[in-house]
Amino acid sequence: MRQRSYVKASSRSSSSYYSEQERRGRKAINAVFVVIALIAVIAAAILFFKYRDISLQREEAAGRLAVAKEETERLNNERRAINTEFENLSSELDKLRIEYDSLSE
Amino acid sequence: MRFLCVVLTFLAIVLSIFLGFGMYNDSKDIERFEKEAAVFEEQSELYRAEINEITPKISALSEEKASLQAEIDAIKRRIIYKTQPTAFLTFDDGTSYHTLEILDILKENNIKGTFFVVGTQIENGGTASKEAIKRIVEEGHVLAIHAYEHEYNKIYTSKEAYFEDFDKIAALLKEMTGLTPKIVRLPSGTYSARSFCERYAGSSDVYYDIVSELYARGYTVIDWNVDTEDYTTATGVTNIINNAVSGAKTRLSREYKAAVILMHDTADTVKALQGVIDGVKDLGMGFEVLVQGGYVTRQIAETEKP
Repeated sequence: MRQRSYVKASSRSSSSYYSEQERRGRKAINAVFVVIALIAVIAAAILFFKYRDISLQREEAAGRLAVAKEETERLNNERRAINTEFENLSSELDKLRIEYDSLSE
Repeated sequence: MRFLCVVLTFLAIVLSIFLGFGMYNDSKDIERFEKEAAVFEEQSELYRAEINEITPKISALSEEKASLQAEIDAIKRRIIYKTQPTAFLTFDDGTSYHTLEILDILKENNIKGTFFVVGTQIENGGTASKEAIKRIVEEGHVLAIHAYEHEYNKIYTSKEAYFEDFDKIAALLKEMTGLTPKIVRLPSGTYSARSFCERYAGSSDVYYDIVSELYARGYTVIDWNVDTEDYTTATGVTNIINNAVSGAKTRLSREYKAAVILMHDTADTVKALQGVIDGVKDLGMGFEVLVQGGYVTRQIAETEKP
């Protein structure tokens, strides 16, 4: 009885309480946990770099859009100015033609 | 250990979910931005095409406007002479010491004249000739081109011969004054010049080639419509005055009351000039200089071969 209680007490305070098979099983589970965590962390890291690339691409696309928008606005203003100049010139020329005709008579 | 792995995995999954959403949104944004940029670029192309189409039209209109405006200005300048009797005193064949005397008389009367000068006269006339050129410019008269050598049998033998002579006088005046006179009077006038071309070059075509080339170079050719006949001493001072005044008077009955009076660089001209000025003034005429786009008289009106 005294011997039994000794074995029981020592099994509670030492790993030797588990059998070799159990220890291997626990190690394997721990390894699985570590691998899963590692995979998750690596996947997150890959996603982070991918995200950073896409963010840069987004910034570039936004930049291109801003440039295209600005260029379109500039061209639109130029087009309007040129059209106005054309109309003004046409009307000035009409007046000059009338003046020329009246002077030539 | 397991707990740490679980926490790490959990955090990695949460982070991945956030990154996934971010990437999804960014991808959508990129797609949208590219579509919008393509629309803007397409619009820009349309604007560019419109601008490229209108720009040459504007250039053409501007040129047409400038040319029409110049014609209108010229008509307006000429139209003045329908109601405003005007005399243009012109002096050929200078410069010499006579030119200095002519300039003195013009200065006393506060009148400006037009001087059609000859290169050999300037170069062989000593300091007086050069002083005269200087005074013509400084005193506000018009310096105009006649010829370098007043030799019909040289300058009217070909277009090339004429422009060899012409370029010499133009260069001389440019060198002396820095100016490029644009008013030209052909030696002996357009009518005789055409005859000389027939005689010395064998064809009147040479005359038209010369005149059209002068116009192409931006010069204006002007003759006279009143001849004082002061080129010969046989005329005499009194007749020079009479020829000028009677000639100017006949212009008053014309549509354009403008008298371009031909005088030369002679002693008799100097003597007659005050009488000419007084007589023309008595007709109620004012005095002006010949300018481009202003009054033009030519014995042969055409500047191209008819």
